[in-house]
Amino acid sequence: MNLKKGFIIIIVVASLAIIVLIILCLIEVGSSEILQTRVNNNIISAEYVAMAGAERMYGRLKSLQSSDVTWPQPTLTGAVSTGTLTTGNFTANANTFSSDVFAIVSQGVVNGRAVTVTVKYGYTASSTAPSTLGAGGSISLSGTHGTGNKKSWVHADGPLDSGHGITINDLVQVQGPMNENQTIAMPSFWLYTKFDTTNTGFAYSDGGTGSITRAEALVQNPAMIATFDTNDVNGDGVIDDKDAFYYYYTSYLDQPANNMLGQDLAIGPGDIYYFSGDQNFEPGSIPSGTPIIFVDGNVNILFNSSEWWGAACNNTIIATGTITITQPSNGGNDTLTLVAYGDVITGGEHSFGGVNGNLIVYTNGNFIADYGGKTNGTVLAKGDIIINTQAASGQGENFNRDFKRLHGDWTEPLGLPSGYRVVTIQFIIKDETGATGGSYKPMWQRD
Amino acid sequence: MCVSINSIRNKNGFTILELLVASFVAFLVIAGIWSVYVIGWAWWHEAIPKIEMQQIVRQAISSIIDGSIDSGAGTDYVSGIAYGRRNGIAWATGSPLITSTANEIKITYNLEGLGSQSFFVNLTEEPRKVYHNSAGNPVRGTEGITDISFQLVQPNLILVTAKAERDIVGTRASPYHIKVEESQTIFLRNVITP
Repeated sequence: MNLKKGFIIIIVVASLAIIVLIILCLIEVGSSEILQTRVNNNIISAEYVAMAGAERMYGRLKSLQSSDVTWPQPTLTGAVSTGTLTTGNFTANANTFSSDVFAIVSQGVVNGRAVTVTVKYGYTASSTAPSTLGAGGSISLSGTHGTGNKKSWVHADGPLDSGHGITINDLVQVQGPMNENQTIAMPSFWLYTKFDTTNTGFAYSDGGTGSITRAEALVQNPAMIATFDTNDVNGDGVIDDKDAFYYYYTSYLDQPANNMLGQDLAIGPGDIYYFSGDQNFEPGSIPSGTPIIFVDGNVNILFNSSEWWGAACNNTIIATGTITITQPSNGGNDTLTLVAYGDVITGGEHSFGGVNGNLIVYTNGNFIADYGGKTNGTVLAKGDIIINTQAASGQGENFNRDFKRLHGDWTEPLGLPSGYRVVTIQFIIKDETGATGGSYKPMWQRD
Repeated sequence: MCVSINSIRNKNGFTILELLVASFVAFLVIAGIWSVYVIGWAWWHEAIPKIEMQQIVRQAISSIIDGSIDSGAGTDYVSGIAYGRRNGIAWATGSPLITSTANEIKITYNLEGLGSQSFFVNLTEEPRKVYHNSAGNPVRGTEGITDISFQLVQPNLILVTAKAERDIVGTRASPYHIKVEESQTIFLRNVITP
C-alpha cells in the first residue's frame, strides 16, 4: 500500500519536472529571440540617431561658411525625440581629416547600444571667388506655386551681394549670406582705352564721369580730336561706357600682348570672330576651338549643348547688345562666359543637360532668368538680377532654378576685364555631387 | 483519540462511482501531461528550425548590407582616433551592378579603400551559402540559405531579399515545408544621384 502512494507522488513530480523543463526551454529560446530583436532594433535606432547628430553638425558648419571655422569644432550633443519620448542621444564632433577634407564623427546611443558613424566632406578654406549672384542694383528671387502641391523653388548658394535690396519669397532657399546695400565694384573698361589718361598716357580722361563729350576731348587733347568720331562708335556725340566697352575688346584685348592667350583674337572689325549686327547662334555656327567672339549687336543663342564647340571648351561671347540664351549647357570642364553691354536673359536649360561646368556672366544691364535649371558659376550685373521660376502653360511646376557656386578655383576667363568683383570666403563645403573637379562626394561609414 | 483514514474506509473496496471519478481525473491529468509533451515536442521540431532559418536569413542580409569592419579598407583617423570601414553594400561609392545567371546571383560594388567588392550565392551547390568576393570566403552563419535577390529600385536604393526553406519531419505524418523570407531596402548614402 505504501508503494502505491509513493508512485503517485513520483508521477506528479516527474510531470512537473517535464513541464518546468519545457517552460524553461520556451522562456530561454523565446527571450533569446526577443533579446536579439531588441538589440538589433536598438542598434538600428542608434545608427539613425548618430546620423541625425552628423546632420546637425553639418548644418552648423554650413551656417558658418562665411565666418571663421575652428578645428576641432565644439562638441554638439542632443537628443532625438518624438514628442516627449526620447529615442536616443547623440554626441557629434568634427575635425579636419586632411587639408581639404573634414570629418564628422557622431555617436548615437539608444538603450545603452552605441553606434558611431563617420562622414567626410570636402571643403575649401579661405578661398577668393566672385559672389554667386552680385548686382549693383537689387536682387529678386521668386519661386512659384504650381497646381496642387507642385512647387518650383529657387535655390542659391551664397553669398548674394546687392547694391540695394534682396527680396525673396517663400519658395526661395539661400545657403549662405545675403548682403544688402553693399558697394559693388564693377569691371572698368575705361582703364584699357585710349580715352582715359589717368596716369596711363592715353589721350583723354573721363574725370570719373564715365563719359567724355567732344568739347571736353577737344580741351584735353586737341591733337587726338581727329579720332574722336571714330571712337564714338555709336555716333551719339559722346564717348561713353559703351564706346569704352567696344574699344576694350575690338582694339585692346584683340592684341596678342593684351590677352592671356598671347594671340590675335580676331575680334577686331573685319576679323573672322567679329560680327556686326544681331546674330543667332545654333550648333555648328561657330568653328570648333573658337575662344571668343565679339558681336556688335544682340546675340540670340538658340541652343547650346555641351558638344556645341567640341567635347571640352571654354568660350566667351561678347555683345554690345543683349544676350539671350535659351538653353545654356556645357560639359563638366567647360566655362561659358557671357559679357553683355545690355541685358543677359536666360530660360530653362534642364532639357539639354544644364551647366555642368561654369557659367560666368557680366552684364552692364540686368540679368533675368526665367523658369528652372541648374547653373554653376557667377553672375554680376550692373543693374538688377531678377530670378523667377514663373509658371507658364505646361511649365513652372517642379521646375526649380539652382544657382550653385563656381566649380574649382576662380581664374578670370578670357574676355573679362580685371576688376571683376571677388570676395574672400573663409570656409566653403565643396559641391557634393562629385560630378566635376573641385567637388567631393560625402563618404559615410559606421563602426 | 486518533482516527486513521484507513479506519474509516469501506473495507469492501471502491464503489463504481469512485472508480469512474478517479479514472476521469487520472485521464485529465495524463491528457494534460501528454498535451504539454506534444506541444513541446512539436515546438522543438518546428520552431527551432524556423528560428535557425531566421538567423541564417538575418545574418545573410546583415552581412551583405552592413558588412563587417574590414582591415583592408583602411582607417579614418579623426582627432587621433581610428575608425574602421565596413565592407557592406550600404557603403558603396557607386551604384552596384547586379548579375543573375542560372548558376549565380551576384552584386558587385565599389568601396572606398577596397575598390571592387562582391557578394554572391552559388546556385549549383547544396547547401547554399553567401560568399564575399571569392568562393574561398564564405560568410559565416549563412549556410542553408536557399535564395537571394537584389533589386535596384533607384541608383541609390536597393532591395535585398533572402530566403531559407527546408522540409521538416515534425509532428505531422509526412515531412512538411517551412520557409522564411526577409527583405530590407537600403539607401546608399555614398551614392549621389544627379
